[in-house]
Amino acid sequence: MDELSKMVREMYGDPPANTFAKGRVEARMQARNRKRVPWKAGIVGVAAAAALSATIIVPNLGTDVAPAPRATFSGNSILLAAATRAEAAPTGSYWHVKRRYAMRWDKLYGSKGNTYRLETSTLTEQWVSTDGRVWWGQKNLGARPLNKAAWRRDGAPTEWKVEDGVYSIAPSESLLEEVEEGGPFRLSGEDLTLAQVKGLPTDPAELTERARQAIRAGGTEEDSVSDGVPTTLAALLYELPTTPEVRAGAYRALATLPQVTVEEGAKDSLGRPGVSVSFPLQHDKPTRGRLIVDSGTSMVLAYEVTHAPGKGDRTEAVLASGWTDAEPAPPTTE
Amino acid sequence: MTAARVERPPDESLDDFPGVFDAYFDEMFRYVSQRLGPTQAEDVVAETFLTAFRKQARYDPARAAVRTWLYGIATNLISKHRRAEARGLRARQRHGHGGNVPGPEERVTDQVSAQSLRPALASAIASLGQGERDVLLLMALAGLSHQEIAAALGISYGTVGSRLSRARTKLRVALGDANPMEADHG
Repeated sequence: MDELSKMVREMYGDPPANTFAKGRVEARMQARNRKRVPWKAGIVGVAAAAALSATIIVPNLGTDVAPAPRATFSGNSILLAAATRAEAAPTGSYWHVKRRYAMRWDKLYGSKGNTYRLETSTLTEQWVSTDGRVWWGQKNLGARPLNKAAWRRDGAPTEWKVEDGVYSIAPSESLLEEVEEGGPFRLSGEDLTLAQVKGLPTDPAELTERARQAIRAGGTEEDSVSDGVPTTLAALLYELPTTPEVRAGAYRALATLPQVTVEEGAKDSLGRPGVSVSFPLQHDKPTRGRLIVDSGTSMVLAYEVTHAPGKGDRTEAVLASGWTDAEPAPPTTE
Repeated sequence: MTAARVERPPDESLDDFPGVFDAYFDEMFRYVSQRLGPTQAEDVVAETFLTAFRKQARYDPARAAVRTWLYGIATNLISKHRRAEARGLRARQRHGHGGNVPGPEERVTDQVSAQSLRPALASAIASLGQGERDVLLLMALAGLSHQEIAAALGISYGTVGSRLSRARTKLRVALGDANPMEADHG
């Protein structure tokens, strides 16, 4: 395949495996054409056709990002202390990441004089067993009017028509499915096996070099490779099923990067206090990425993108990230 | 839950309709999901197979394989969802952080580092004409040949070539190619 087609294909990526989709499509076909399609009996079990659509971007809910002072000695010592605590993190039978994504939509709903915006949000969870099996869980948390008074004046509707379906105030049911064939695990531009993730270097300099290699594997041009290092290291802090030693190495590697700024006294979108670890996402653009790290546990609480010109800020709240012995289960709001 | 997946394509007829569904569901769902997102894809893929079933009398095995025919139906249905497609492409233009755990819908290509060119590419694909985009994506995502694309869309072989060439030129310009007018031998 030629280079341009390959780029197009890579940009579209692989759609997520969804073992329930086939059953739902069959259910839709039967519902529309019950008498005429010579269908197999008893196929459909799971017809949770409730839109699992979801969206990942949230404007920053009231966190403020100060213009960045340079990395300081105390900033580095905060990261190094985080590294030491990360090393002591427990291990377990499953790697588990639970996140809440939400989005505040620009569109106004309601009638004249009583308009309001909606926030929709979704919980997602991933488990990885030590032998490489992967489970994916999801729960749509429902839509929420951001101006309650206007919403009540508008008659307090519980559903809103949108282009391709309906937003409902009601949460969807929780789904959990095993992802066929497990991984691979994505590190920047490179797909890794579980063994490769666990075998990543723990030395900060080697880990930084390994991150650069993974970034180059995605076709990034050489003068932009450094831009990708903080987010690639961040993936090792809370997304990928790494060992505590690799996570500690990632904190130490972040402490060596000149573009990283560390500040105390930050809060995430859920109001949880932590240390802000921020960096430019592209050296010639104002857009910044920011991790909020719990200084007590070294756990990443949130990842935010701010200062994107002409766009809202977005956050993902990390509700859990680490090794656990708890079995995979459908997401709950607990 | 479902019957065993048919490992080889069924005979090139629609007599075994459940067999056709089993054989091609994954591929069609993948293609439509890439263009419209997984939620919308369920609806469009259901409609694709229902359309195939309803119009089976019009299917001519001499002209196109079942697979090609299904891609044509799906592509025509996708064109009725331009806003959903445009929204997906806008999302790909916004993308930032490299997440291993994919978030729903936008989880697909969430890799900042890599893909400094992806926003430009998404934007260029969004600005193509529908016909150009259909031809480009049937080739790049579905892997159809010029001839298959012509059969799928009911257009001439020459039209496939000219649309593809225009689409590729526009993409090259958007990607900052120094010499976008250079002949395309891809």
